[in-house]
Amino acid sequence: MKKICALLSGLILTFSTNVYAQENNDGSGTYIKLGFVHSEGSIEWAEYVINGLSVEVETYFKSNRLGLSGWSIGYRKDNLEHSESGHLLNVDTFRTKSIRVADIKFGGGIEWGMPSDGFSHTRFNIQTDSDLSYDHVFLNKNSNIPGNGLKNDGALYPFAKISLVRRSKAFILEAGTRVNIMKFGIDEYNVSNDKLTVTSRDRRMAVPTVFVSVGFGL
Amino acid sequence: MTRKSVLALISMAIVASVGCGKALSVLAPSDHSNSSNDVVASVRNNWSRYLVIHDTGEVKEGYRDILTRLVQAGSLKGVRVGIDQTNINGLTNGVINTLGLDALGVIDNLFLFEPNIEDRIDQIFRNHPTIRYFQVGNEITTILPKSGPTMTIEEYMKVFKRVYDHVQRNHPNRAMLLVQPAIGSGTSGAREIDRMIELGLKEMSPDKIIISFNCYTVSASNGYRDVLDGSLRDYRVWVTETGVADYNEHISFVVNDYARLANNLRPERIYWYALFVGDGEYGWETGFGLVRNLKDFPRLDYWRSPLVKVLIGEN
Repeated sequence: MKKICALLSGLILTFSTNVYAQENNDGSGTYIKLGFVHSEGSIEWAEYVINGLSVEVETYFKSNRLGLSGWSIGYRKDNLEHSESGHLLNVDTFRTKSIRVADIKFGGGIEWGMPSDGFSHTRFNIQTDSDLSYDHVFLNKNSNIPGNGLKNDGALYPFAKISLVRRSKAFILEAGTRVNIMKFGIDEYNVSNDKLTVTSRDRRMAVPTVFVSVGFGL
Repeated sequence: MTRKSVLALISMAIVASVGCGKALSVLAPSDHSNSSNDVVASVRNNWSRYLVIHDTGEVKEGYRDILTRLVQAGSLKGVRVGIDQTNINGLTNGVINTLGLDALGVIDNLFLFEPNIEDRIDQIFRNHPTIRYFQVGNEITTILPKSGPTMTIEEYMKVFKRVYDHVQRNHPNRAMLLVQPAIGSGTSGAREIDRMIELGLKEMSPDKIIISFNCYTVSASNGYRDVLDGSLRDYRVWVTETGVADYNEHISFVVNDYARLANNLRPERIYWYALFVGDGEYGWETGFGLVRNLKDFPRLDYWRSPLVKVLIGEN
């Protein structure tokens, strides 16, 4: 993960000296961005790797409003191999601060949707004729998806993000990291002669994601 | 920023994303080109040692041979068999008991329409003393012919409660009951489980019942997963049917889909549907079968699918 962050930051800084030919005197602008998203880590013993693509519409104000530089709304598809899950909508606000070669951008927002099954894991420990022991990790759901008719089949959680941005009126380039604050269920099951013991606990965790996106001014 | 630079950047991003996908995906394409030893290891690692057999009294010698081979190879621990009028007085296939297989008995849907279901349960328990796990009905809201009789999930839950109360009162610790597995496209099966919860499923002890699903696609498991991780977090889960109707895909189904089913649904058991589904008389369902031409055995050898060859160590 650290290597990927370094790579993305390097990408921005390397390209910035060449590609930022057009000075952006007026700070306002609206862009549509396409991005690649990668998340990798572990929830206790359960490792996960999730890749996705995102599309965002992002607006920069002419000058800061209520301390904010702009806002964006986006859609992300995680786990491209499977269409039935990994659909997420997000909205966030941000503030930018100019540094020598780029803008540093920090902000936060909320994300909602049907997460991919990449956070669900089961691990079997003991399997004998009379005893069975296994662990299960999953993302807690706390929201309903309209039209599905199921209870708590969606997830809603906040996130914070920080990135480097280079933009002109016509183009925008951004790379950074985002931290989702997600709640996981961590359960331990023991079955002995059909007597079940379940130890359930929930744990809220910061789940980091790295992203790179490019876009065009509208 | 020039157009040339942007195009170069987009190209880099695409190359990077494709590269990351290959390197990091759990089931990257490169995994499928593994050597046959790796495939065998993957099948054995993911395979759950349970499958469905039809105890109709036919092809006994064929069943004896293939079940023995599977047990000897360590690939079979238990079977799911239907209990209907054919074998109400005891399993017709003695090899299930002689091999020491753990049998899950499916109490036939038609029994559930009987006015005195309690007497029928007593009879089944009496005549099947070695069976401890009983599934009460199977896909009852979807599998029965429209011409009737049919049963809604509300009617089913009334019957299941009667069976549960009768067993706890008169046969305590005799049996574990499995609710009928819901099935359906999209989230319809999961909605049915939600309805069962509204109708009192959670009033029953997690030590006395097991939640079961017939789940043929990972996409359907997403809906079930949400119910299990939510309301039914304290309950055990078995997948009582799964599989694919093309023998060329049997192995990849075990390697890929078994792993996802296990991660999504935490099932203690996954039953493959089915060992033998006839020699063509059941149409497309035949493709689920691990063996064919059992009827001519032992006069002629029978056909074995690539998956069952791996499971019995025959390569």
